[in-house]
Amino acid sequence: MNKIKNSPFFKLLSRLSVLIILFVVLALTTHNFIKLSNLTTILLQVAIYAVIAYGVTFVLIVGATDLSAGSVVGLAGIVSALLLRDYAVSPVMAIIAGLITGAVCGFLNGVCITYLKIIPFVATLGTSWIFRGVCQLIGDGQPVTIRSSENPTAAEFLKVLGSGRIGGFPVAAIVFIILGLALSVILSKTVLGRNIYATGSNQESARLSGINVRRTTIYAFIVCDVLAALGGVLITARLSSGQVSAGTGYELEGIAAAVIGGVSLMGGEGSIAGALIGALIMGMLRNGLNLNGINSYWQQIVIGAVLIFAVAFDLFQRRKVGT
Amino acid sequence: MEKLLEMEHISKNFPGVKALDDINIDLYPGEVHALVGENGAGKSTLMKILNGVYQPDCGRILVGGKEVHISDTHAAHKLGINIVFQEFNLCNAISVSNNIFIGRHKHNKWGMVDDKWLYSETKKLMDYMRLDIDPNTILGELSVAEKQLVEIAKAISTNAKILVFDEPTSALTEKEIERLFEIIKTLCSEGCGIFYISHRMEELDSIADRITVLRDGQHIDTRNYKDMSRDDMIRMMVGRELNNQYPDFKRNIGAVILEIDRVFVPEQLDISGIQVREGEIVGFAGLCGAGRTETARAVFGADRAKEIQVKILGKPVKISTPKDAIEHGIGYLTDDRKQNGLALRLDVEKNINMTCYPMFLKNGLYSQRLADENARKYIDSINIKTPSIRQTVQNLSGGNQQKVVLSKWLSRETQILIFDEPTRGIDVGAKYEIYKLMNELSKKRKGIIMISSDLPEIIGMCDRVYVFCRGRVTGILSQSELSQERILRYAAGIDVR
Amino acid sequence: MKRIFTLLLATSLLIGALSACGSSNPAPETEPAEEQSVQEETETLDTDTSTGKETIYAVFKDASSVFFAQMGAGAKAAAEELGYEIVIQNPASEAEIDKQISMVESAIEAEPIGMIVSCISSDALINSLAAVKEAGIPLTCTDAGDNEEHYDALYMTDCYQAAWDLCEFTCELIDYKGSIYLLNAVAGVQSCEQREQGFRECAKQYPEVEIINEWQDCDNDKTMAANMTLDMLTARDDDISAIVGLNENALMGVATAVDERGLDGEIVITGVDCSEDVQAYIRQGVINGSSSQDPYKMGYLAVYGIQQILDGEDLNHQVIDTGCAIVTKENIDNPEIQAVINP
Repeated sequence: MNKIKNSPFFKLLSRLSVLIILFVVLALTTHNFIKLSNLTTILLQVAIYAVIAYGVTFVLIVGATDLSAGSVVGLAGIVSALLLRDYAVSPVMAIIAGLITGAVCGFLNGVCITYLKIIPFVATLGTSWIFRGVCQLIGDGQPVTIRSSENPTAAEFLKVLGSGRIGGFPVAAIVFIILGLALSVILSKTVLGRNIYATGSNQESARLSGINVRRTTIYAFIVCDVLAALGGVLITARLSSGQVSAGTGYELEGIAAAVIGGVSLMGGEGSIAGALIGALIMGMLRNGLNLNGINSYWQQIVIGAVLIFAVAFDLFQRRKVGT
Repeated sequence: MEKLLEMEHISKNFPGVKALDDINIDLYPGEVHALVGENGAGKSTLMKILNGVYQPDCGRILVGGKEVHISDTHAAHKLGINIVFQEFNLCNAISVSNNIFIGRHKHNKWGMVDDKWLYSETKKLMDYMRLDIDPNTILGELSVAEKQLVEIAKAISTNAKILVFDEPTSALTEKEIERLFEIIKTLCSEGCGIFYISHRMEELDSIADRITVLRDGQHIDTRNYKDMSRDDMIRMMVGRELNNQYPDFKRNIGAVILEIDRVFVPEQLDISGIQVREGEIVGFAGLCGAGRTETARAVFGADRAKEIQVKILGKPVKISTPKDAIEHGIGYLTDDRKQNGLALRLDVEKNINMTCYPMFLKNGLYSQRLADENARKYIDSINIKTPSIRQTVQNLSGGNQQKVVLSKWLSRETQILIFDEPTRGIDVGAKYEIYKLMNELSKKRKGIIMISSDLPEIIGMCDRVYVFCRGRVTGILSQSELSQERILRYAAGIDVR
Repeated sequence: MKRIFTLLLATSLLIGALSACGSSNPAPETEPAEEQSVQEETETLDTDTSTGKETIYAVFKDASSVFFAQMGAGAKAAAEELGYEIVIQNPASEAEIDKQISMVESAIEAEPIGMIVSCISSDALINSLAAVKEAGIPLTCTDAGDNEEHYDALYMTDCYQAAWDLCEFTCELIDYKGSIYLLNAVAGVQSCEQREQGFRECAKQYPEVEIINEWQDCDNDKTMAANMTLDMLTARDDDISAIVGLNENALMGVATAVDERGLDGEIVITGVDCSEDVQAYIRQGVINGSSSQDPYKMGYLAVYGIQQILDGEDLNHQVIDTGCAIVTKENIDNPEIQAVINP
């Protein structure tokens, strides 16, 4: 029985049950929680954090951390906003440009870590400042707003992407759900995904088995920062303007969501589904506390406590099995 | 004479495994009590209970006639019990002296650690063990053999009365083993009792007073050592007759497939003129640190060499990463499977298939079914004992872990396989299976390099042997020329070709 | 791998080119027409006095704030008129009090002819401002001074009063009865606390007006403000009479949420700060009115204040209220209002 308890499937199941219990408790105690409009609103609110959590998951599984994800959010958001406002680029191209920005950032992070051999924590700390600085430089300290009076098509597109709904279901939620499925497939059903798990679990062993750990790590960072860039684009879309300060602290949100969802900080363990559940748990908690009018400071305390509890629970399970 | 230790009716269950079933064992002062059995027989578990790492499900323990409850390692130490484990319990990042006296530092009047005392006590210990190691050396810089000796020194320094040595000589050379036995004899004369767990029969011949055989968690027999014949011992351990320890072989040796013309690392390696033929098992013998593993790693592309020239099937090849080596058909089973041979937290399937994930793509996606099939093939053919294909490798016994490593390389088409200490820490039954597998591989016309510190194993299995000493090849011996003395002479640098 | 490498390298060059364009492309409403060697930095110090002109150093609160950008513009204009150079610095956010302290201390070393400071915290900056005065440098403060009045003059909006006026305006719009959701920006910042106080005190006059929450802030994050507003609306079944955002980020978040929900026009929305984005929402009718301070005037007067001190006047720690106006759809195109919000 205990071997099942330690399996990834059970871990996920335990997270899912927490989510369900939370849902039930909130539904019974909080007025209007269970309304469809509130539930879909939660999905909208969670979209950005979920996307970033997906990206962080890739990097955590490969055995590293990405502290620069928040800065990439800001940078990509500003880049796409600028292209839309000042260069009359089509919305799709602007989004792609934002994603490419993310890819470049991921590539730079990956190179620093694999070729310059700087430990991920330090490397991404440095790049987080660099990317944020570039973001502030090109944004010039002002929000970059796309107005419907000046760029009607762009403004309309952004509105649909950021806060639009199809039959009541937020577009942004559709994005992160489909993305979640696609990324799940990549992690579990491609060679890259397997290499990521192998590298994170024991890098030297993976290398001696013929896996190109450098390339694998760089790919993981590219995926992470492209997803962070997507988060930045979604923020720009929702607010119809690029914010220079967007995404500040969001990398920590992403890490918290992933860890709550069962992704291990030591590498080699975790799943996209887990990250999604973690993001949903955090989103529901926030929503529940807001609906009950509770002070914003309590939210931080609660989320911190949940994070600690999630990690402690895992370690406790592991110890019981004697591994 | 009063017994030092009695363990009565000890049983221990783990999820899915009955590790110990009503074991009774005792220890007299001044005796070396050998504990033998296949891997998974329960020896380590029994000793871990003694050391407070596990709690028995039932049974009791008496030390000096009094019943005790050993709740943790600290309690065990207080009772005078200490263990030198097969897997080292040392910290690579701190010095030798700190490793040995961890938790037992002496403080000076200011409340700070007394470094002078630490240094001198450690130096005394090193001298006692005839080790030329400076107490301030960082542990990570030592070789595996030196670490093992430090681990032993640590146990001795605690003045324990009940000592357990679990495979203490797996990384040691003849000289170091001799010294260890001298120390053991001294300890016994001072009234200590020692449990000695080992798979090396020759060693037991030298020091064991009594012997207990365990099999599958059960106590089979306890006798005076001289009353136990080798055949009896082996029969009890595996439950079957073993005629030869090494399978018979008749090798069909073909053309040269691997030529290591030159490997040069300044101050470390200066190798030239090694050849491996199809169907041949070539041995790399020598003392630890002589350069065998380093040569293998350089050829495999795992480490950089200043100059390296290797030919496969007569053609020079450039190998700069393990991936290159694998693509040229070379496989390498590392000497430390836990460190770099396996991903301990992943399951059996993911480990077995690690060298060839791309092989299981179907329609662009990874087919779990094909991957599982491949893994099961090896689990069945080489008899890997695991409750399921999704079992985390960390939970398997040493022998089975090694089989997983082997499967990893069998999954891949290789022409040359390098086995680095393939039977370290593995029981007799599993060893035999691995020797058989190596023979089968040689029949399939693969070229095999076997790096081993176990002389009988080298003599029993190899067609030719290269003897290494301090980074050079000092001797090349053919089957008929092989003898322990000859190999040792080349390994110690007494003879050089 | 090589292909990807080339693609990514090309894109990095693209980003580099874009950033070069970006920094030479100033935000439309803040740059004066004339070219002057004026530097606008966020973190680094530049002691270039090679043109031989005397330099004023200004340390404001927030590099990404429109409010302080306008303040900088006013200060620059005044400096230009008087023939001085001016160096303007901002920490990356209003949370970085210690960064601001470092900037002030470094500025003293540059021996400017005068300094302007907007204190993020009126307690924490006391020692630094004392040091400025000890070095004999004329000192004016904008938006917030220090609690021991080390400044020679302070140009600010009375945040308490401004919030009071805003409350009167809001209550009138809801006929002096109903529920109000009050969303603040950052904890621990004096201007935010004063606004909260002013609004709540004023609301006490009207027994049928209820503020439905205790202190809530959005950590200066627009997205968070939008999310919190959505949740509050859900909790109250969309039945809130008015929502107030007490700075630009809070206000824009609130407006975005209400707009998303389709409730614009049904809920009264008011707030503080009047950036271009807020103005757009005012014209659209989403925001009913916003209290605009006059940061441009603050910056402008602060420079002239320094001149007065250099001319020998004793300004005697006076506090000058630069005033505020509530900008609505009706008055937004009036010239006086325009002068304030689009200097």
